Amino acid sequence: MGSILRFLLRYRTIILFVILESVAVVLIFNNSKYQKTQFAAYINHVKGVVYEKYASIKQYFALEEENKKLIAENLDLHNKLNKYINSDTIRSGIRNILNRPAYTYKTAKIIRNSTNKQQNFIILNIGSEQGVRPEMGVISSDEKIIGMIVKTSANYSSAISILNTGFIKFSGKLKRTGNYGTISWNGVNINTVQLHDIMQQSDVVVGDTVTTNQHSGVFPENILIGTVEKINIKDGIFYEIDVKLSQDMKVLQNVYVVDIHDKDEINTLLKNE
Amino acid sequence: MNDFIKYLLWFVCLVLLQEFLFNNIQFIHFLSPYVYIYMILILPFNMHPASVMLISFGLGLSVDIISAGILGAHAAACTAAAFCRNFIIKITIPRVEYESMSTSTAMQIKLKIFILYAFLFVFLHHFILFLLEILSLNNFIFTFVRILVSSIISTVFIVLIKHLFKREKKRNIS
Repeated sequence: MGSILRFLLRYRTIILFVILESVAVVLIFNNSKYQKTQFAAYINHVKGVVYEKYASIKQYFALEEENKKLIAENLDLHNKLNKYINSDTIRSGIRNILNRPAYTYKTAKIIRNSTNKQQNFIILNIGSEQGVRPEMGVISSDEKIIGMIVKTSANYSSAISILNTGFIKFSGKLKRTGNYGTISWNGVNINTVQLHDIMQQSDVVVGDTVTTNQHSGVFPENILIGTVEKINIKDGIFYEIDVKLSQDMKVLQNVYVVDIHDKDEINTLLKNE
Repeated sequence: MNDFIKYLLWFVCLVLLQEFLFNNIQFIHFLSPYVYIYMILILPFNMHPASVMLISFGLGLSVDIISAGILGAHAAACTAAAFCRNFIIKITIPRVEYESMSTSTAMQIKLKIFILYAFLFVFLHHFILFLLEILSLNNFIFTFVRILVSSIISTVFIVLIKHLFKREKKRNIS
């Protein structure tokens, strides 16, 4: 007994090192479980309160810029409205309004956004009480892709940014040809993401528009992702296409959270298939 | 007791500063300075490595909990860095230097030596942390550049903090 005790005492530093590192590794591998706990939600809430104060100060200085954007958006909407009024499309427009919309937007403010990590997250000022649920899409006020909600507390939610190497791959399509592939980020440049799984014979040119497609269940169809910047030829049968993001991820403030209606219903149907 | 309160204050302040100040610094997109490990650097040199490791683990875990990253990554990196602290002290700080000092903490050593000591420690910590964060060796050169640049910036912040704190202390005395 004494010798065991002496042994433990002698190598206590190394033993402690091994124990602590093991605990850390266990935590790392159970990270996703932890993120769902009440405690993590509470920390998220406290941080939300602090960052909201901080963001309100920052927003004050960006009011002018924000105003300009709103005016431009307004103008754009007016133009679109005019087009509808002056053409026959008004009838189909009315029909669309009468039908139940497939999705609705919730407005939210970004109270924290990072772009300097490999795993970037965004915190928004609306949460489960405002109807935000995980796996809702986040898009900018001019309908460009930003990220997806992963965690909510009562009044705040955090979203995984498209600039996150752990982002669950989702599909994007080339608007001109309709070919679709998966989008991910390789962590190198905050202005480009990668489009994979496009066959090497397919017709792609630099400058093509890349948008979301209808099957993601997270984003509505035709939300702008970016434009083709470079087509890399890789071994195998697929291209790896660099897509220049249309949204500058560093200057986000007002965003929409997309609530796709009947998503659960569609998902259960998909599962049953 | 006095020392205990002093270190506890450092602990709390550094964790909060890390989350609410340094995590928001984004002038180069791939850069993320981790300045909170200043806490581990200023622990007394003669403190037992086991105690240093326990404090470091607690420190890393606090940062993990408060930031939205991977739980355990900072804890693992801090513990590993703390484990190597004595070795780094031995190779960077001349024996005469730290044996002759009364309280023997990093606050008293010369600036040049402190920078070397801090940089080696910070680099080791960042190396482990960044690799844990991405959990792959793909694109290693890019990751290495991120680690190196972030380490340099972190070291600069650490030296600045040390310098500020030292001046404050002198003013209080006079």
